[in-house]
This record gives sequence, C-alpha cells and structure tokens, in this order.
Amino acid sequence: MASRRRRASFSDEEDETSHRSKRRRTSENVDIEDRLESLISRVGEKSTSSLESNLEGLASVLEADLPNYKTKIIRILCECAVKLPEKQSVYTTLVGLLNAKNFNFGGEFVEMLVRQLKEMLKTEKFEEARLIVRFLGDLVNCRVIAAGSLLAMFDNFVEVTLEDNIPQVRSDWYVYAVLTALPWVGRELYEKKDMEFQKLLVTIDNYISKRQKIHVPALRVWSSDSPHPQEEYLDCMWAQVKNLRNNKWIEKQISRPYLAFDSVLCEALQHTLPQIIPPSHNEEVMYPLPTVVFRMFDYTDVPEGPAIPGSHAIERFLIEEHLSHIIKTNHLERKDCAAALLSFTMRNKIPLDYMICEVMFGHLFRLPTSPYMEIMVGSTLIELCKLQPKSMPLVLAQAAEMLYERLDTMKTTCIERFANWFAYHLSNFQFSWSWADWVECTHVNPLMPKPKFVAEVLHKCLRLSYHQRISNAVPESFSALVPVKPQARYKYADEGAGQLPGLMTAHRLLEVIKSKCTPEETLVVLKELPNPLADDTDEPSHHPLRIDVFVSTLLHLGAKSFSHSFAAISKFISVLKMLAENEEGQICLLKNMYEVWSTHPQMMVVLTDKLLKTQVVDCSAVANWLFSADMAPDFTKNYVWEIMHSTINKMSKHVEKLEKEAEEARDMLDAAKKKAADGLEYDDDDNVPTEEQVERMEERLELVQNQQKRLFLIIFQRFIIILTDHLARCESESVDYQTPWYKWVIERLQEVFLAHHNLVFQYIHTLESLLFTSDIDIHILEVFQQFCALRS
Amino acid sequence: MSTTLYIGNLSFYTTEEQIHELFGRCGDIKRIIMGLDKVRKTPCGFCFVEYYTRTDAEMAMRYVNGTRLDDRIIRTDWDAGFVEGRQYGRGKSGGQVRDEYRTDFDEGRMGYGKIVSSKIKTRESI
Repeated sequence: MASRRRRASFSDEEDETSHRSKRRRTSENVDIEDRLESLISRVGEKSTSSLESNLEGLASVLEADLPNYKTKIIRILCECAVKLPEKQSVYTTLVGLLNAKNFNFGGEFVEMLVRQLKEMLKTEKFEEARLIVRFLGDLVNCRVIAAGSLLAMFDNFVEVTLEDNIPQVRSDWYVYAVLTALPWVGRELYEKKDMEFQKLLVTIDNYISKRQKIHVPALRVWSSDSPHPQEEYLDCMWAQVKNLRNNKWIEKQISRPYLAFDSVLCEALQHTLPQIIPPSHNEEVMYPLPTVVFRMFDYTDVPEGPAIPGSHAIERFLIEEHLSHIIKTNHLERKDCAAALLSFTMRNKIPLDYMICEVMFGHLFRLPTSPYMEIMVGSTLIELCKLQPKSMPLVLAQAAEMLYERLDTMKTTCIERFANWFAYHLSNFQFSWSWADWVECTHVNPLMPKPKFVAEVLHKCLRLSYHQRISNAVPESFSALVPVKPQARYKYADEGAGQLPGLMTAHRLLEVIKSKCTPEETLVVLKELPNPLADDTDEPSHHPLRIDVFVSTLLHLGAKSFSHSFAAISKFISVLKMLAENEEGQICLLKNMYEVWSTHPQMMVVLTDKLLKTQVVDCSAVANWLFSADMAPDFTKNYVWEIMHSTINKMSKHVEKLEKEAEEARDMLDAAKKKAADGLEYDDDDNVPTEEQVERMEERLELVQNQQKRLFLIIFQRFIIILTDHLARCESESVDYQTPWYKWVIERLQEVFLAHHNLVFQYIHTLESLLFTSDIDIHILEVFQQFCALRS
Repeated sequence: MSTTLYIGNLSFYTTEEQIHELFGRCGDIKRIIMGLDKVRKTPCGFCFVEYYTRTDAEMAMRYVNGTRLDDRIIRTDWDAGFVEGRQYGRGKSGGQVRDEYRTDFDEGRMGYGKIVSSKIKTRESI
C-alpha cells in the first residue's frame, strides 16, 4: 500500500487520476492480497490451536484462492522463504500440502524459487541464496522436489571446488551452501541416493583437507585454543556434518511439521529441479568473507538443567543459526528481539540463556566487523535481563567474568568492544559490580590486558557518568586505574608560568576575547610574538608560539562544555585556519589541544571531529599527530584509536559523497545529451550540469580519492616504522619482543586493515609494492598476508 | 524528515558530555541543545539531540529510548526540529511544566515539584 501511494505522488496529474480509478476498481483485490500476506507471514507464530491444524486450514484457504491469486501467493511464499528462515519448515510443509492438492502450483512455485536463486547468485546476495538452497533441500522432505534433482544441483555446486584460478572464498561458499542444507535433507539423500551422496561427500572431504587457512589468525577473537578451540567456520561445519553422518543423519533440533502430514504428502507427485549452474567467476564478484566460530561456553559452564551441545554436534550449529535468524529478523526492535529469543521453540531442551548469550557476544566480537551496532547488542541484552530477571543477569555476569579471565589472549579490537559494552551495561545497572574479585589486576604492569581493560571500562563509565560516582563505585585499591578528573589545563595560569615566553600575550588575548573582540583583533595581539623557528630557517613553516598562545587560550575560554568549545572555535575559525595553514601547523595545533585537554579524552575526540569537519585540520595531519612522539604516552589507549577510526571514516564518507554527486551529475548530463541527440527538446528546468561542471566535480573527486589513499599509506607506513623500531631494538638488546606494548600496537595495525577492509582492498597492490615488501619484518608482513588471504 | 530527537526525564545534573557519549553510540551527532530553566539558565531535565542523518536518529529511537542515563530511564521522541527559544522550560517558575505539578520527591530534579515544595516551605515557616 505504502509503495503505491509513494509511486502516485511522483506521477503527474493525468497519471494520478487514471491510477486512482484503477485503484478503486481493484481495492477489493488489494484487501484480499493484504489479508493473504498477513495470513501467510503469521502462520507458525504463537497460537491457541496446533501448528498442524493451522497449516491444514491455511492450505485449504490458499487452495481456494489459487485460481485468482496464484502469482501473488507464490510471490509471498518465496519472500517468506528468504525473510523468515527461522520458520522454514513451516513454509516447506505448507508448500508440500499445496503441491499435494495442486501439482501445477508446486511446479510454478519451484520454478519461481529457482529463478530467484539464480538471480541472487548473479547479484551476489549470497546469504539469501544459501537460504533458498536450504529451502529447496527441505522441499525434498515435503515431497515437492525429487531427491535426485537436488543432488544434481549439489553436484554442480561442489564441482566449483575443481575450478582453476578462482579465489578460495568462491568454492568455500558453494560448499558451505551445500553443507548447511544437509541437516535438513541429509537423511533423505542417505535413504534414497546413498551412493551418489557418498560421492558428493568424498569430493567435499577432499576439498576441506586441501584448503588454505592463512586468514584464520586475523579473524580469531582469542589467539589461544584454551579453553575452547576457535575453529575456522568450514572446518567446524564439516566436523559437525561428519558427526551427523555418523548418527545416520538424524538430529534432534529441527522441528519438522511435515512429518504429521506424511500420509498426504507421500501421495504427491514430485518436480525435477532444472539444471542450476553456478554463474562463472569474475574479478568483480564479492563473496562472503570466511569467519571463525565464536565459542565461549561448554557443558561444564552450565550449572544445571539441559547440557549445552558439544562444539561438533550439529545441534550446536542449528541452534546458533536459528538464534541468529531470530536476531536478524528482529534486530530493529530490541524488545521484540529479546521476547522472540526467549520464546525459542525448543527452549526447554537446551540451556537457552547461555546459547543466547554466546550468540549475542559472537555477533558483538565478529571480525572483521560486527554485523550490528554495538548498542543493539547492549540494549537487547538489557531487555533480556528485564524479561528474565532471575537468570539472565547471572548468566551475563558469568559471561563477563569469563571474558575477563580470557583477556590475555583476546584481540585488541574485541577487548575494546567488550569494554565499551561492559561500561554501557554497568551504567544501566547502577555501576554495581564485584570489583574486589578483580583486585589482582591492580598489582601487575598496568599495560597488561586486565588492568588496561579495567582502566578503559572505568574511563567509559566516567564518560556515561561523573568522576565522583565512578570513584565511589570501585574499592580504594583500584584508585590507580580510576581516570583522573577531566579538567582543562591552562598553562598560562599555572604557577611558574612566568617563565613562559607567551605569558604576557596570552593574558592580553584572554582579555580581548573576553571583551568580545573580532577575530582580526586577536591577530593584532598575536603579532607581537616572535617565531621560535625563525632562528633555524628563513621561512618557518608555521608559528608554534602563536598557535600555542591562541589555541591554549581559546580552548581554556571554551572549557565549560562541548557547546562552549564549539562556539569558541566557530567564532575564531578564520584565525585557526590562518595559523594552521599547512600540516606542520595543524599538527602543532592538535598538540596544543592535547596540552589543554590530556585528562579529557572525550573532549579531544569531539574537538578533533569539529576541527576536521570545519576543515581546520586535514585527516593526514590527525593521523601524523596520533603517531607523533608527543602522543606516545597515550598511544595504546582506546581513545587514540577512536580518533583514528573516526578520522578514516570521515574521509571515506567524504569520498562517498563526492562519488555519488559526480556520478549523478554525469548521468544527468548523459541523459540530457541523449535526449538532444534524439531531437527532443532541451529541458533546462532540470538543472542539467555542463560538461565543464561535471569535469570539475570529477577532478575534485579524484583529488579526495588520492587524499584517502595517502591517508592509508601514512598510517601503514608509520605503523611499519614504529613496529620495526621496536623489533630491532628488542633484537639488539636480546629481549623478548612480545611486550604488552607490542601486542596493542600490532593488533591495532590488524584492526585498521579489518575495520576498513573494503577500502583497504582497493590499495592492496600499492601496499604490496610500496610498503609491505618482502624485506620488512615477518611479524609485520604476516598481518598483511593474513589480510590478503581473506579474499584469496 | 526530522533528524532531531527530544530527550526527556533527564536529571538536572546530566551534562552535555554524558548525553554525547550515549547518543554518539548511535551515530554522528550534529549538535546537542540543553534544555534550560528560563529564569536561572541552568539545565532543567530535557534536551534536543540532532543527528546528521535520519538513519542515525532512528537508531537512537530504537536503542536508547527507555534505557538509563545517570540512573534514570530516559525517553526519546521525534522532534520537528529545534527552533530558537525552545531550549527554555515553559513552566511558570522557569523549568519544565511537569516539574510544577509533580508530587513525588525526585533527587535528580531538585526534590519535590515546584508547587508542592512551595507548600512545604510555607508550612515550615508557619
């Protein structure tokens, strides 16, 4: 309905009237179509009568509507197959029942679904395609599709593993699509086509054993396999399927409503799938990236009730997949999401709270990037605690405890996500936590993961609260890890400031700004300052003393809040731009900001953001500043990386925006040219850009694209320099290079690759020939190679 | 399409920084306008958060509405967009109207509502 109305508003007058009358005529049909949609999409939800009787009833209704609404019904069912995968077997059963009543319908449905599958494969919608494969498998169980023809499709898929010169991610996906359908249809294939099925499995086995796994270290949440192995997804899936085979393809997790209709379904005629051949590979295709299976619990962690299935039990995969589908369907409504998770169909047979918790954290920690916003996970966990107040908070506390215990081998990116979540969670529960249990972390090197985690959590808690509250929330013994109270430091008001060369000017500046002077007037005041760089060179690149006096004073005056600081910057933006006209000046400006606000990381984050947005500083200046010696004391703190990533994101958003604008302008111009060539009237209402304007836009785009590339090159080069220095120093002093500092820094390098993987992949050849060359240290090179392996 | 949210039931002591930290988790914030007491020019328990994009504002509606900040359950609502003047409370005594009539004791919002507390004061002076 909504789309109808939208479309109407775009059409012109004449169209609209004809549309309206058509709508009046068909409004009855629309009502029925809406009703069908609602009936079909809601079947299988909680109901007072049994699922079987609901399905039977719905099948009869739909059968009666088939003559008039066949196309619509087929379209709705195909949509449900992809959009509501958690109810897959409800829909396969429904299709089975309809097929038994009306053979032609079954044929048309299968045809449509196959067409959709081919389309998804062509348009690289691989997850949707995988769900259709699984659905087709389940249709064999419902006697809609002949087992042999499904097997033929599987054969075609697995044959991809024999192709030459293709990336592994391609063959991986086709194998994975087959493997994940087997819990549904394995038993049928085993009973009906055992020989051919065995052959298929042998091919898969061969493939699995020869795969490259260079990418795995980059994707693991923990570097250690203790207590739980962190397995590559296809290896794990294959182990689970082999177990399933050993159990004669019988699993205990899937609800199969079609079993109740066996007598009806076995009468039905089956359809043969048409030949489905995977589209051939080309360089442009983006296959899904591999993953590592996230595991944090095993049966020993669940104190009572049903046991958690083992890591190689197919049930573990099925539950995880089912819960993931529920999250995907409901993630935009956290309350519905929590309720849907807790009403999981087989909730009494599994330790549901633990499984939900594991899947949620698996999403939070997923590498290269999390599929959802961190706050989606955090707020849904809070809802789960509200709905299940007796058990969920305890399970979450246990989980937090376990994650804390495993911090030493946890990847930096994940430690940061964990800290952000934990602080957020605590802020919703009065910051109460049994901190005393973690007191040991106050006795070790503060750069070690545990004390560092606690310090970052407290810092994030502080940002959500205030200093006194956080100081009071932790025991005295944690005082060294509690952040200092955030305060602006105005050095020209410090004791002993008399020695500072800019003191007099600073005080004068303070006075004129307070008396509401113009930007020009501040320049007059600053003019009297000598340039300390003038002694060394004739033409100094910037004026550090003027920058120092001006920035310190301005930020001091705006120190009251973000808004005050922003207002101060806005008013004197012309002065800032003049003082920081080149990169050296900009870096100097940022250093002075650090001098004022070193105890208030959040202020530095928002100020840097402001300075970037107002184009007072460039992205590359920010990156160089963060890597500078002045920032070394804070280099392993999260906020530095918060600034780094936000800077990269700002750059890429800018590029995207210009790309879109240039593309649209080019399209408009081309369309206008075509119109003109066809002898149609030139319509100048459309604001068609000129050739010259479009070229200028494209030049500008190229410029920022180069800036973006340069930004990445700077970041990677500076990483290589500091890491090489460290490794060389350790070697010359014959000490272990694996220091806490090294862990943080090498993993931040990895993080830059992963967090921006789509962008960085564009530069892979430049990086290989310019920076990550074979002569650099293998530890650094490895990070690059693992990254490259993600798509090879 | 508005990208601005009205945030209610804040403590009078909650700062712009705290609001930024929580709402910044949903997207890039354009500006925050603190609601002020018309007379005293101090925070009076509400604010506006404006995002750059509708999508980010929608995220905040989804994931922040009904969760806690400074130990209070805060409320988010769509706002038509900030207009100068709206940052001030519309209650008789300068704050928000709801703080005139409240009869409960709310530590984060200066104790009792204005009317009740003035009654209490009168009684004490008698």
